[in-house]
Amino acid sequence: MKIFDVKGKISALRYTGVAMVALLAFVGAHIEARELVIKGATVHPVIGLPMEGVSVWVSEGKIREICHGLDPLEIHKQQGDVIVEIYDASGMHLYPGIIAPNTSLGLVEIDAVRATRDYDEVGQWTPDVKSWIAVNPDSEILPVTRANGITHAQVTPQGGRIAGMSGLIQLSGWTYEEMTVQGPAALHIYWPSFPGGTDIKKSQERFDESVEEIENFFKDAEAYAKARDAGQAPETPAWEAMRSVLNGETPVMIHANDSRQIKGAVEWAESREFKFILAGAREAWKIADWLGERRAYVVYESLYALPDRSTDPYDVHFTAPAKLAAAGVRVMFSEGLGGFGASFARNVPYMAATAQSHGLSKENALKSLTLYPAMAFGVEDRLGTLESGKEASMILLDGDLLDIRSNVQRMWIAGEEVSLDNRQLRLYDKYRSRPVPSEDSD
Amino acid sequence: MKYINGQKWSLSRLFKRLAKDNVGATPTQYGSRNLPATVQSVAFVFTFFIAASGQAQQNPIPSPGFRPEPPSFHVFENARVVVSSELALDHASLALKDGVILGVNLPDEKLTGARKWDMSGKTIYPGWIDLWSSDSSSGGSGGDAFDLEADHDHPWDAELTAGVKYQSLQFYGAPGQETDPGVAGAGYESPMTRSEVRQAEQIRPDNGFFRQRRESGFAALNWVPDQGVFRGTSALVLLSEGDPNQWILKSDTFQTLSFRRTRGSWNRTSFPGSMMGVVALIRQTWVDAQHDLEMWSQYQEDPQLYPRPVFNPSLRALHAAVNRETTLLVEPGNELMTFRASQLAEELGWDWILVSRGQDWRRPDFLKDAGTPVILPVDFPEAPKIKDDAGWDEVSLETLQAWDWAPRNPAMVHEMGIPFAFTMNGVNSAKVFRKNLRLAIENGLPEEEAIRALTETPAKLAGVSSQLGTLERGKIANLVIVHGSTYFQEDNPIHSVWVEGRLFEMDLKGTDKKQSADEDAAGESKDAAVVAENESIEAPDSADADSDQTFYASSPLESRGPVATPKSVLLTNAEIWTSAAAGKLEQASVLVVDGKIAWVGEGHPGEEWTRGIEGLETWDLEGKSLTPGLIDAHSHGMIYGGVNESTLPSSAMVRIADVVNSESRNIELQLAGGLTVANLLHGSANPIGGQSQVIKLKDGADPDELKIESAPDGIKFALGENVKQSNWGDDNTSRFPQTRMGVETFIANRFTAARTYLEQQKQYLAAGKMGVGPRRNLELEAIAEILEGDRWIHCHSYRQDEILMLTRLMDKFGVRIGTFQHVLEGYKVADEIAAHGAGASTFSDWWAYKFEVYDAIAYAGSLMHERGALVSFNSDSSDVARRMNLEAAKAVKYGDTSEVEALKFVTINPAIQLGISDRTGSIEVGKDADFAVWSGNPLDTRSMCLQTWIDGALYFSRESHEKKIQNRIEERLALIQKVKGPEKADANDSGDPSEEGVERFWAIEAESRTTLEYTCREGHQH
Repeated sequence: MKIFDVKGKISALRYTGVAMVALLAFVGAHIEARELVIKGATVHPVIGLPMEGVSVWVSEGKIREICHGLDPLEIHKQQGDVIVEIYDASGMHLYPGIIAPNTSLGLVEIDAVRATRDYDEVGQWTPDVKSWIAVNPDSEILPVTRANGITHAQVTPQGGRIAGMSGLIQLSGWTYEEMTVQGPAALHIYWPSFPGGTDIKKSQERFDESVEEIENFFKDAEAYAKARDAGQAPETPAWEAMRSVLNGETPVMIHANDSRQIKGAVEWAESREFKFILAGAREAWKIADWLGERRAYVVYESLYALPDRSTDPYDVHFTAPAKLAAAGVRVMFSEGLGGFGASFARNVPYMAATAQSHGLSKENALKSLTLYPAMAFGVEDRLGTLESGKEASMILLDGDLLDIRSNVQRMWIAGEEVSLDNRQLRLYDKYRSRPVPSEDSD
Repeated sequence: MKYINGQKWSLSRLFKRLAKDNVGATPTQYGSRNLPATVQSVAFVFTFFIAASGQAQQNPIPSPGFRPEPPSFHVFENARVVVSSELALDHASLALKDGVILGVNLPDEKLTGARKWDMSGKTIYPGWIDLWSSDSSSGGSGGDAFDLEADHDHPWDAELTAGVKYQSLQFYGAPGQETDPGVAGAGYESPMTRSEVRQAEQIRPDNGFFRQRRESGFAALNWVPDQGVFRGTSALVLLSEGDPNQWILKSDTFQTLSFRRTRGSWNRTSFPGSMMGVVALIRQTWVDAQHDLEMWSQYQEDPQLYPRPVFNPSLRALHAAVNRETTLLVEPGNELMTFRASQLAEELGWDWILVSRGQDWRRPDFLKDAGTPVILPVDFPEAPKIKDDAGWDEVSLETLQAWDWAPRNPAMVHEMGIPFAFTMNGVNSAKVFRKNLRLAIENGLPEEEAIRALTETPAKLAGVSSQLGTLERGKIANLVIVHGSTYFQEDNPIHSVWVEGRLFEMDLKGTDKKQSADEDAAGESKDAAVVAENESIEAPDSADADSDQTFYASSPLESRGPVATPKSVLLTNAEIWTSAAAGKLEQASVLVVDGKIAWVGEGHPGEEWTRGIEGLETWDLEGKSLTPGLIDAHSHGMIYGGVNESTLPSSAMVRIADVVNSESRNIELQLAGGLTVANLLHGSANPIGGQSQVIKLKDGADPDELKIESAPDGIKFALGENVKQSNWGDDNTSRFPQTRMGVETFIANRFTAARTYLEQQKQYLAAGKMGVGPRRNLELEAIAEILEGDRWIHCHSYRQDEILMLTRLMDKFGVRIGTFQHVLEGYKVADEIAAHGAGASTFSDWWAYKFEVYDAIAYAGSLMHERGALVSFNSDSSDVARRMNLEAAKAVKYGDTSEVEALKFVTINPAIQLGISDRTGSIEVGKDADFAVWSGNPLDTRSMCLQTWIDGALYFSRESHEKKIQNRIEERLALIQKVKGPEKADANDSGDPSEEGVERFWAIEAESRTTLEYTCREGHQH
């Protein structure tokens, strides 16, 4: 039996390259089956109250047990001769990893450089476009995002009415296949915008026509499935891609902002008995109760953007999540898509935090980052909370997750410890150690 | 025999009047300009009398085949004659002969041979005059002057362009080689200065347009050129037909100037591309005209002694305006630029008339400051018929306010005692024009004032009141005759319009049903003889409005300004983050007297401090946190009309100070985040950008009051991808510079040029100011101020090499850089930045949006701070500016900077960087009482701003904001009710709104939408 006891002097590990290397070597070294015990942390299971000073036993990538005073020798007895890593995390906080919905992570490196943009495809009806297979596992943005506690992300395709399928990825793995948690995670429909103008009848008609086009597309997809199954249609990739949506396996994520757009979208999705997730949803607060009755999943985008009208209070978007949650909506957050949809994704916890300061309960703020996205993508049996039997995708912080000043100290994805090192830290270390130049450097 | 106004007009008296009126008139530009004014007047008078007596209109006997001219002697009987705005006579007669008014109520013997017209039941007015009339179909050659492609088609044109290549090296920096905007022939270096254009030479007969104007009652209009900024001189024309020589009454009536540039001529490569560029162009043109005038005067004195000035027709054409012999018609485009026009008028010494866009009600104080007559449009918005409540959701409060205020605007201007004339510009139909005048009257404008604004005032402003404006004897016989007792009831058809005694028929019979009914009922006229004695004609459907308590939109200024202004206030029981040596104080108090901090410390100042302070209020902060007001060293949030003058590589002459947008809602929104000061910067489109401006967010103040006068002047510089146009698309590859090499070359060039410029100026001074001095070059002047240490550089920068490059370059010129902005790789050269003494104003954590920010790190602020640089965090975004405290918290998160130090990144450090730390940025005795109150630790994501104070006045509190919003919501709903009208069966008797009115309804907010988030979304890159 070998027991590693890693002392929790974390701040020393944070930036010093030496300590990092040690940790990496340590992680890289494990080959044999190994048990992990995290002792002494305050555990935030998300469902249920925080537990102080408990131990979390991780085994085979899963949370085996959360209990008081877990003795490694007990594990040894149960498991036979295994390596047990014991990590003393007293004074720290353990949370499930953050799942960031609706991002462009991995699909863009530098937005201004066209060659590095892969998030927006041509065509109006492209359900057979898949985002997760285009994720660059070596994108420098991924480790930077991870350092703020984001373990998983939904990678969203853009372009056209039906843009394609997103995937849910974990932010670690050697290849996109290893990274993929769920693919497809959702079909993306960019809902027609409600035509401007005040002739509502005319606008409604035009809007209805556009919605009808979507409905027709789905009807055609159904017709194809029948015909194909009867051997009456040639194989068509786009229609094939629609099958998992039609049979209810894959939810639809509908991008809509205007309240009438949202209503139209939800009514349509309900008419087809689809599981749906709304994204954008800037005016969702106007129909909060209506959405609440449906226990809708809503990804609220761009919480910080300015209010549209002088009759909107300055905090209209800060308070919207609280209003939605109070009505029963399952709120999540996103920095939006496109250029900043990757490099800013690391700030998603602070949107939840601002919503919290404007009335969202702490419990809901935490769920918005963990459990609700897991539920939305149907992976709540594996992710989203800290419970025995779930995947050990966890983050350990030196403070409250919703406090911007806190930092992630360690991260595990599916039980594997993941490095928090990243391009920014490396540059920081490099230039922090630059010697002071001599006076006459001119 | 009756005399007009009971006065007998003698010839000598008439002479005197004419002479007086004509003093301000401009002689032709190239003609008799050296004649003394009195001689000109006399000459004019004789011409006039010869014309009048000899009926020199046209040869009375045209060749066979043409319709013979009718006799020109008429008398109108039994009419209501509105001789002037102050005198109306019932059952009067009016005689005209040979195009001139003969008199009112003349005895029969004087009327022998006149054609008699029975005008019972009709009213005769002097023909209307419009001073701001333009019609694009007559605009002349304007278009191609702005078509840059023209140069490519005709390369030799470029050789002949107005010296753009050469002169622009002085004013505009180096333009792109292939994109010189040019006009054939001599002229100003910018094609937007077209002061030499004379509308009298451009006019082509346009019978359709004339007819349309006559149908509204106009008999004369001042036709203004419509291209460019300085647009040239207008011509006053009679709305006749045929020979322009005949119907041009007066040429060069005004020089015209519009801030709106030419319609639709926006082009990235054509200066000016922004509102601040427009103002810069106006300023440079004007000082050039002043200089040109001096140079020519000097040269004419002694051609052998003084250098020959260049011939520049644009500047020559402005001499008369510079000498205040010609009045400027100035169209600022909205109320905000009205304010700026007033300041320019003072700065440059204009004699001017304001051409309003009708939204003066938004800031009547700006109109008042202008202190000049105004030309008012009546293109009021008309509410569309919206059936659905959901449709009304689309309509903003500002649109509704504009709709409600528009018809009240003329009455408001009148009540302010400001002389005004009406223009029909923007209105396309007589019906709408007349309806809107009626609405103006119903909304409080006395009818006689409406008449005055259509007749006497415009005549006087144009210097033709001896010829036009009333029906007094001897004046040109311009008449508008309507059926019924008033013009200001659009159902009364116009009988006829007479232009210089010539009849233009409209509706001689007056077939309108309503009209005939009126006549039947009226019988003997019940009209009062003198309109001026208070009887204004009540429009029938205005009765409701008067009896009910009609709801009116509020004045926008009502909800502006501080919400509490205690003379002195003691804030107690706070956790005070001083951002000063005292650090963080627990259970502390701050005493504010007259807007300044008088005491700060733990506990309570005690009796000795508070005794005798008048009206001292005590506010218990109940343990909340108080910090200095937050300061944003990089903002584009309160800038009107574009943040970039992106057309040229150096735009040092443009000034943010000219376009500070006091009306932006960003002020209100950013106050709510605890922000009190913003450094308004030009964008990063060019290596040498525009001049910056530091403001305090004193909501409700005018643009100049927002400015912190003591702040050192600043200027934006930029390096890297933006200035070399890397991300502008593939077409932008010809402007210098295209590389980081060229950026250095360019800046070095401009600084050298500025140094030479400065030397010239100094030599001139040293030589005892012999002769006329060197031309002022406002671009080089600004750069020279940098060399003199009077203007601080705030330089947009990313990569370490360019940061170092500018540091070394400025070292050579002996300039200390104020701040590097963004400076995302500043952490790589932090020591060099610190040694040079530049501040570093960076983002907390932005990165990866373009290649030059791939090495940006969230630790940069902390690292630069550790290495001794003065660090601030900025927003560069109107939305981030609302949570600068949370940006500061990221320095704690990433770089382990202490909380107290991190807060300084958004308080005292930017204050030092902007040179205002003697006034603000920390809570210390003697400083301005600028602070924010927070619900908890200001660096905690879960805290929020509760109050924001500036100069000891409370500008934001959560409660007051909530109330303000509630009021707006209620006002909006009430206005929607008002627009919808009473829910009666006959509610639709007002008829359908006009198309143009509805168009205006939707456009009016945008036109004046000074609240728009214009800046960061459009034409701006970080």
